[in-house]
Amino acid sequence: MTDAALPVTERAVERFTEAYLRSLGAQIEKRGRRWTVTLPGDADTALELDGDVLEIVSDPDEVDEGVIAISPEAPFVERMLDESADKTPLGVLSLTQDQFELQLPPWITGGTVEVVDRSFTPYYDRRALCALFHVGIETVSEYQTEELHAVAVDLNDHEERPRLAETYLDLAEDDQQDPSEGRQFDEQTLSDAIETTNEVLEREIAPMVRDTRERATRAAEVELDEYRQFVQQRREEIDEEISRLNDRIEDETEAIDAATEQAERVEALRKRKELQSELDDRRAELDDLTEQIDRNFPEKRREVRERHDLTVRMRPVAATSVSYERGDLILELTTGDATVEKSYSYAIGAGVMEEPSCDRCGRQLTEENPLALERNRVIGDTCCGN
Amino acid sequence: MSRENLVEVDFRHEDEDTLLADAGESSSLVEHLLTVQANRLQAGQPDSELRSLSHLDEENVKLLEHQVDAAHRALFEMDGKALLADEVGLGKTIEVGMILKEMHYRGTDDAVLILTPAQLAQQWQGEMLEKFGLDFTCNYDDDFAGFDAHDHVIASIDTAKSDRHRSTVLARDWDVLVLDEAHYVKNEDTDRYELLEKLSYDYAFFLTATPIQNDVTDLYNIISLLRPGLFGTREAFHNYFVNKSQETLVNRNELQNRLRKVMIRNRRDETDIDFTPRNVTTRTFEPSPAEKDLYQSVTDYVRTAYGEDQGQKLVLMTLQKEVVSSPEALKQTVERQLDVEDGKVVAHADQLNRILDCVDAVKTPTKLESVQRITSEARERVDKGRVIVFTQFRATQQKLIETFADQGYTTHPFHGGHSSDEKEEIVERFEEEGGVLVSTDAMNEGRNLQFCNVMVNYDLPWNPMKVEQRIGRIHRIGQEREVYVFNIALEDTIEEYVLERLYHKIDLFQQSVGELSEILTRLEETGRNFEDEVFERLVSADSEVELENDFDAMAIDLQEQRDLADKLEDFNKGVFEGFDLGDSDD
Ligand SMILES: [Zn+2]
Repeated sequence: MTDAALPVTERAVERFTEAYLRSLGAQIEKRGRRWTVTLPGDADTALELDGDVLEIVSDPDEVDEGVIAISPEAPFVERMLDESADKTPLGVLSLTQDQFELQLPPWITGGTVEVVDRSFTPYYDRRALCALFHVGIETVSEYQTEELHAVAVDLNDHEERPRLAETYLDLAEDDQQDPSEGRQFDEQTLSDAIETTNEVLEREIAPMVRDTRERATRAAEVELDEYRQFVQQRREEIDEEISRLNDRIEDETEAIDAATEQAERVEALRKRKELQSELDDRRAELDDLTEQIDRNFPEKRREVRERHDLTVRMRPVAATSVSYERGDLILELTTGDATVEKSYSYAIGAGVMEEPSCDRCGRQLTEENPLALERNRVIGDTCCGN
Repeated sequence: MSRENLVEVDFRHEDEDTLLADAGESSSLVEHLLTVQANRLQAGQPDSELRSLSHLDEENVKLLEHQVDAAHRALFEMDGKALLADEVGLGKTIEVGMILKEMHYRGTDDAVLILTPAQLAQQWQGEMLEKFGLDFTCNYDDDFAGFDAHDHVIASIDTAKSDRHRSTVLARDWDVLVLDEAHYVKNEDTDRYELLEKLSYDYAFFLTATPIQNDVTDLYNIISLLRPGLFGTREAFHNYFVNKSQETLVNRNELQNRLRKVMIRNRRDETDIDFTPRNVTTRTFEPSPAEKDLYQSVTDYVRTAYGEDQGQKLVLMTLQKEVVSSPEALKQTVERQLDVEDGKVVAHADQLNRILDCVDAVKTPTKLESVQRITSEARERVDKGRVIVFTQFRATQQKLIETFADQGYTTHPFHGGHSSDEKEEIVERFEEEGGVLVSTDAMNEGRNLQFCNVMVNYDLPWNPMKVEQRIGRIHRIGQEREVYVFNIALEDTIEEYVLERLYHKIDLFQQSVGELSEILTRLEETGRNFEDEVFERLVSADSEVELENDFDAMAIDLQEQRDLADKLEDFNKGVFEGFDLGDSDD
C-alpha cells in the first residue's frame, strides 16, 4: 500500500494542465509563462477555451483581467481536476521489458559484486489490478482523516505487489506515455479483482485503524470514567440523604411517643409516613445506582462506546488492469577472480520476486547484508564475507 | 488494551458500482492516467511553502527560524487553527503577521478580525502595516465605520463584544480570527468567551504565553474554541488530567500529545535570540527658579480646572506633559485654550495668562542644555555621532532641531506628517550622514534603526509601553553594540515621580515588550489605565508626602501584577516542560 497523494506544486499543476488540455485536443501556443489555448469545438469537456490566455503564476490574484490563472488552488485548475478525476476511472496497461530497464535489487547493488551481463526471459503474462482508494476514518473524538492509497494485487496469487504499485504511480506521473493497450476487464473479473483488492487494503490499513481505535476507546473510557465518578458522587449524596432521613424519622418517632395531644400525635405520624416514603424512594434510587455500579454500567457503556465507534470508508476512484511479464532474470556476476551465472524470478515493473539467502548460513540477503561471491557460491557479505 | 475491549469498527466499501459501470468499455490509457493524476493531486496538500516570504522586505522585518517554523506549522500542519503559545518575547505577533501575509498571498483573507486587549490594538495595526504591508482598520481610527464596513479589522475585544457592535461582529462570516492574549478569554462564563464561541470563522490563531491561568481547565476552554471536540467533554478532560484531591496535573504526557495537534510553543532557551546589553541612565537636574514657577503654575491650574470640569481631562493631561517637555510646546496649547470664540468666557483666564508669563521667564531650559552634553559626547565617541532624541511634541521637536542646527549638528526631523517614502529617506540619510535624529512617537515599529545605539528620552511618555517601543527601535535583533538610553528629567516634577517611583521600581527599562504588555494588560483587566492612574494621583494628592505615598502604592500594585505574571509564566513553563517542538505527524 502506497500513499498516492501528490504535493500540489506549481510545477505539478503546470504539467497536468498541459497534459490534460492536450488530451482534449487543445492547441497550445506558448509565450513564456503565458499560453494561448484553443479547444476543438467537439472536445469532451465542459471547459471552454477559444484563444483564451492562461498564465502560470504563484498567486491566482496576480493575473491581469481576463487571463486565467494556472496555480495550485486556482479555480480553473480545480475545475479541470474535478472534471478529469471522474472522467476515465478504468484503464488498461501492459508493462513489457522494452519499456523498462531491468531493475536490480538493493541486495545486489549494495555489494561489491559486478554485474557483467543481465537478460530477461519472459515465460508468461500476469495480471494485476492497480487501484486508487480514498480511505476515510471517522470517529467522534478525532478529526476525520482522508487519505489516498494505491494498492496493486496480482490476480493469480492474490498477493500484494507494492513495487508494482509504485511503478504504476511513476508511469502516471510520466506524461510521455506510450498509449499501449491491453485486454479489458469484464465486469465480473473487475468485481472479483476489486474484492481481492479490498481485502488487501483492509489488511494494510489495519495498523492505522487499530491506532485510531485504541485512541477512540481511550476517549470512550475517559467519558465512562467521568460518568462513573458522577454516579459515585450521587451515591454518596443519597447515602447522606438517607442517614438524614433516618434521623428525622427517629425524631418523629420520639415525637409520637412523647405526644400528649391526639392532634400532635396524628401530625407526627403523618410526617413520619411522609419521611418514610421519601426514604423508600432514596433507597430504591440507591439500589439502582449500586446495581449499575456492580454491573459496571452496561447500558451507559454500550451507549458511550457506540458513540465512539469507528467508520472506515473505502472508495475506489480508479482501477487499472496491469498486465506484466514474468520470467527469469539471468545475471552474470563477477568479483574479478570468480564469475557465476544466477537466475532469479523476475517481473517487469515489480523487479526480483524472491528473497534469496546466504548459501553458507541461510541468512537473508538484504541491502545491509548484500550478495558476495565465494567461488561459485552466493553468500552474504556481512554474515559470511571476510 | 485487549482486542475485545476496543470500540467497534465499521468497514464500508463504497461507490464500487460507479466504477464497475464502465467495465468492458475501451478507454484511452492517456486519459485514464490523467484521471489517476487528477485524483492524486486532489488528495495532495497544496504546495506547503510560505510563498509570501520572498515578498517580505527584510529591511522591515527580520524573521527568525522559530517564527517561520511556527507560521508554517500553524498553516499547513494544523490546518489554520492553532494556539501560538511561545514564551514571552519570541515574536508571536511576527508569526501571525507571516501567517496573514501568506493567507493574503493565497487569497484566503477576505475578512480578517484581530481581537486584542485595548492598549495593544494600535500597536498591532502599526506592526502589520510596517512589517508586512498589511493594512488594517482599527476601532480607534477616525474612519472606523463598524465591523461590517471594513474587511480587515483590528479591535479591542471589549469593543467587539459591546452592545453597539456585537451583532455586526457576529453577523459576519470571518475568514480568519486572531485572538491576542487569549488567556483573558479563559473563563467560559464570561461575555468574551460567549462572543468567541458564537463568532463564525474558518481559520483561527490564538496567542498567549500563559495558556493556563488558574488550572488546566483553562486550556480546555481555549482549545475548545479552536478545536471543539479535541478534548471531549469538560468533565472528562478535568477528570483525566487533574488530580482532584491535590489539584495537580496528571497524565502530562498524554496532555502534551494531544496539545501537539493544535499548540505551538517555542522556548527562549531554544531559540538563538540574543540581545546586547542595555544601559539606562537617568539624569535628573534641578530646575531653574523660573522653571519651578512655571511647573507650579501649570500644576495649580490643572488641579483647579480638573476639580471643576473632569471633561477637560485630555487637555489638562497634555498640559501637564508639555510643561516638562518644553516651554514652546506648553505655550501653543495654552494660547489655544485662551483663543476661543468672541463673547465666550475663558475659565481661569488669569491663571492661563500667568502661565504664559512664566513661559516667557524661562530663558534657557535646563533640559536643552543637558541634552547637548549627551549629543556632544556622542559626537566624540559614537560612529557618525548618531543619536536619536525622542519627544512627544512637535513644538519641542522644532525647538530641538533649531538648537542642534545652531550648534552645527546634522539634523533630521522625523514625525507623523511625513509620507512613508519620506520617512524611509529620512532614515537612510540619518544612517549615511549621522548626526541627530529628533523623532516624535510617530516612529513606527517597522523602522529599522539598529545602526544607531544611543537614544535620549527628552521627555517621557507616561505609558511604559511607549517607552519600551522607543527603546525597541534601536534595541532589537540585529543590534550588535551595547545600547545607551538616557532619560532627562527635572527634579520634583511628574517625570521624576514616574521615573523614580514607577519605572525604576518595576525595573521597566529591563523588561521586554511582551512582559510589559502582560503587566499592563493585567492592570487594565482590573479596570484601570496607566496614564489615568498617574494623572489622578497627581491631581488629587494634597501634599508632597501624599503624592509620594500614592506613587509608592501604585508601584506596589505594578510590582504585584508583575510578580503574578512571573508566577504564571513559571507555572506554564512547568506544565509545558519538554513540550516537543518537533513534527506532530507520527
Ligand atoms: Zn551467511
